[in-house]
Amino acid sequence: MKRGIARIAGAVALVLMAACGAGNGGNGPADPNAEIDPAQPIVYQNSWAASSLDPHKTRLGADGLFLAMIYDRLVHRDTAGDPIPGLAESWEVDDAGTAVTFHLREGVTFHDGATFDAEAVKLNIARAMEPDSGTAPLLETVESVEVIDPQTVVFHLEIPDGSLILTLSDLPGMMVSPQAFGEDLATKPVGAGRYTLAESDAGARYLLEAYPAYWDPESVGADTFEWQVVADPQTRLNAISSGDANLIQVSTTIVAPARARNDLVVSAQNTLNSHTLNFNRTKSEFDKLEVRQAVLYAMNREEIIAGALDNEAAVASQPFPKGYFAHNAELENLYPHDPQKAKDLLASVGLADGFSFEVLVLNVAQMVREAEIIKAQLAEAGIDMTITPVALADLSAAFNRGEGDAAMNAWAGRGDPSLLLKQYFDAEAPGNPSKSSPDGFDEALTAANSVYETGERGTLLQEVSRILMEDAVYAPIAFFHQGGIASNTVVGYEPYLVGDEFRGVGVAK
Amino acid sequence: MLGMILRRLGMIVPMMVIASFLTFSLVLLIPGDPATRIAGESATPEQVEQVARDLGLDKPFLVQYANFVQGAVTGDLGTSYTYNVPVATMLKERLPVTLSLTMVALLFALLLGIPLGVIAGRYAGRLPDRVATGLTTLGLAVPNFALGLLMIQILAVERGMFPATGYRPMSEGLGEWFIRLVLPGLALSMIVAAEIARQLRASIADTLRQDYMRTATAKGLSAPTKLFKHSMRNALMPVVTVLGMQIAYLLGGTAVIEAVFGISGLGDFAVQAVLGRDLPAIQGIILFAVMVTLVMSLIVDISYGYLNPKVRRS
Repeated sequence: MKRGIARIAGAVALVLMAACGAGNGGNGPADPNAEIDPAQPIVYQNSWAASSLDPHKTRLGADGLFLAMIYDRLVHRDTAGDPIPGLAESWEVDDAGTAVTFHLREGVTFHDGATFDAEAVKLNIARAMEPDSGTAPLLETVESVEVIDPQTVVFHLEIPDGSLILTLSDLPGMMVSPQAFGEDLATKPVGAGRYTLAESDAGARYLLEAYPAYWDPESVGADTFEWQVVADPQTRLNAISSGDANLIQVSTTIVAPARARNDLVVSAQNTLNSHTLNFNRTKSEFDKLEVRQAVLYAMNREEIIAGALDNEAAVASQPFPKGYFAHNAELENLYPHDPQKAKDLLASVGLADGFSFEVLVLNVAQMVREAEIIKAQLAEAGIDMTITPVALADLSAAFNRGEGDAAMNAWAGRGDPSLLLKQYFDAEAPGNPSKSSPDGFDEALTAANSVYETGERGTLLQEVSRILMEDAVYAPIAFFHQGGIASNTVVGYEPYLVGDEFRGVGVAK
Repeated sequence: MLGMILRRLGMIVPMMVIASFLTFSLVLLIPGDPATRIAGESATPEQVEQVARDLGLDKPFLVQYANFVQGAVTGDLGTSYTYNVPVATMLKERLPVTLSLTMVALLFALLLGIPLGVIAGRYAGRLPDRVATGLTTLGLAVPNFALGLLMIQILAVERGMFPATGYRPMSEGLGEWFIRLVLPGLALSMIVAAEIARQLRASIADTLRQDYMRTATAKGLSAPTKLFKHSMRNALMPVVTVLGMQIAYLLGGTAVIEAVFGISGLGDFAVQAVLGRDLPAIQGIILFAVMVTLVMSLIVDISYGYLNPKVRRS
């Protein structure tokens, strides 16, 4: 059978040989300090670009990654997710914690030539807070924005809000040229970022061209950056293997084959993105703390990661991974694998014969495999889990409506840790079908958000994680590896803990 | 002839209305509320309501349908929920991609299918026929995506003879456009080539047995003249029917091949639309597909007239 195919393909291939001239890149790893040739383009493939090119009106947090190429933000993040200066060179907070003063960079212009100044910040925040703006709930503590002089702007807050700084490193802090307000920003973006959008086929291909007047020319490595949307990981790997792309998004399934090639460089690490099993604490037996804890003790996360994620993930014990300022080291071994303890806990609430529940599972192969492994592990403790696969577009909505007793989903990290905590555990949040929070959660989160200094906030956020995990509100599974696979000619790529930024990425001379 | 064309064109309108109504109704069966999805995970109930109002999702079904038809007639198919871009624009962007792929696949199908069919028909029952029939069975049996993956691995990744993925528009150069369509085009063409070869084999074998062929032999015509001038034209009728249907199949059947080869055409658009519950996009794609099928069958009927003068008169 193979010979037949090869013969047909071979015959046609011979005819067409003359016309083809596709070649691979050079051999051997590139010198990391090699000089960049800006004329050579970066061709990057990711499974997603953006649902809208308007940072304030989009409804999807995931759009931030792509939009950060075009729109610059007041605050940037370093590779560990900590805040660093962006369009704001520095900021300070008054003693009450309700006035944050930002000192803006001078000489910054938008792509349409408009000047970036304090007035532009004021107009942008007003726009980001309009009722139809997806960013409005993220800025609800902002009372007003005051222009002191062209380079100084003060955010007046209703209550102290330490999450403001990192929130402004996300969609709400993206600056749009005020001249372009009212234009069709959803398809024709006008920012002050590293790149302008030269061409686009929505959902397929976006051609970005370097903005020559960008304030930090060092961070622009390639004059053109082509962002292609390719959903299938194997197709992305084929593309980079044959030289059609030189940088692709990692997916756990392609890490091992990519490592086996000596012309590719894999940079994968933990990110804030995790796989989780979340309980509806009003359904099945999940109103009981002992039952939730029993599920956590019955799970063997190492086994799940080895069996379903090719070991390209780290055990998750809490909402934030190791290496992030909100990670609480004390929680790492709170729920070791202990089926006997799980049984004892169930017996203590009269469920010695076990119980059953239905879990809605994101219907991607990896996640379903994880669910099957968990099903087998829970069965050892006498728990009968029924798996119902659900499409991405329906999963959250169905779970939040009260369908299923639990949900297995992928959670995406946002710029500030408090955003994730609020999204899933705030009693009022649409993403929390239990409609309640553990005792002490609100107080601890308020305390964490009343300080601005990153280290101190981290300590207080770790306390929030402790409250959540001691109450076993959900079962964290794994922080899966993300990042990029680069061809060995690419220089400067570094994975970020929260959202890759591709600063200074280019092709070696 | 003209009357026939006009009559058939007239038929397209009611067919489109029926198809659009059916798709619009089907959408009601999809679980979940589109407004909740579009509003996003962290949306408040007020924001969900606002989204529903903005998109007219709070109106009764028939009003929504009437609005849709009103827009569709003027070429406005609504805005994609997933990409916030008019569906008509996205169809326009992606049509050339899938059309290119279809054309190249069709070219390969004809280049492979016609010689195979002619050889098999001319030597019906003998060794060349057996070999050709074996190949066509293979072509029908191997799934096109499996063949695609195999060709990517061997010819693109290992040998570097072809690019493995992607599409470049013709405006960037004919060679660049074509070279990227070779592998997906070949993978896609196999089934069609096999269909063409089988139809052609049967009809050539059949025409060669006709009385007029014996007459031609008696007149002393050479074998190639008999085969290509007398047999082929009659034998092509069933092939044209198959071809028309296969073009419609190709335009709609590219989804998997597009995913394998990282080509963002209509097939990829359709898959993304369904996965994302992007209702306006789904409706737009189905309406387009229905139109293509109707137009293709009309073209097939017209080409009958060219190939067979009897049809023209009736």
